[in-house]
Amino acid sequence: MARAAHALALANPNIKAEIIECQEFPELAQHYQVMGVPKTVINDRAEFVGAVPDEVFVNAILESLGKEAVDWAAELDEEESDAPSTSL
Amino acid sequence: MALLSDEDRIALTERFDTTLEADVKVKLFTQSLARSILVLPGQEQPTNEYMKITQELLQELTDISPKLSLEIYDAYGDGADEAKRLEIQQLPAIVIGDDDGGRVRFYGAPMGNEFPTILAGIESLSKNEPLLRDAVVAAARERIDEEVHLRVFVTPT
Repeated sequence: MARAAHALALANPNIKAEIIECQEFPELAQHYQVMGVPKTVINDRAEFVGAVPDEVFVNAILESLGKEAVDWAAELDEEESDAPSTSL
Repeated sequence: MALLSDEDRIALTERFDTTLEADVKVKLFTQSLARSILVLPGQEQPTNEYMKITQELLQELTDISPKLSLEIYDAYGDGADEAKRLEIQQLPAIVIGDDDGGRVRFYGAPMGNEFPTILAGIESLSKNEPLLRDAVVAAARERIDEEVHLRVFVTPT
């Protein structure tokens, strides 16, 4: 998740991404009630534990902002129909 | 003793030859050694060791390529203004790149699992290519129009 967070910050200037090493900052980890890693906290409002696909991460951010999530199945269909068909 | 072995150095030199394009600045916020040894007996903080290791690791890493540079700020000394400007809240802090907000950062030593993460961050910034699928980049750019602060908690192993 660390890489994805940094990648999203590089993609969009509205996003700031901090990777925090729990062993060095136990008070911070405790404050955010980190019981498992990676744990991702979005704007101190939403959180999830474990690795998720980038698409799910983006939707978690959108939902935490009260915005509509992306319908990735539709997006992917569109992407595929744009690509040259490889089927016979 | 060096933290990166000769083999690491050779592998990274070869890797950076192809993965780095633009120059990348890495900023380390730490506290000066003089200050960090001012601890009372019985109150030594492991943090000092982390700061030392982080600085050594970044120094060795940025020495590998002329495209990489390291700026070291003493957050309680002459780097205090920059630390305040970037709202640095923990030490050591590493900021990758020179954007106004210092938006890509690490708190703590990027060891173990996090070493590849810092490499990926440096390389994608150098190439100006987020390591995400195009559709994800497009969605993130189009739809996230408010400030988002992500915190990812990790452990080194």
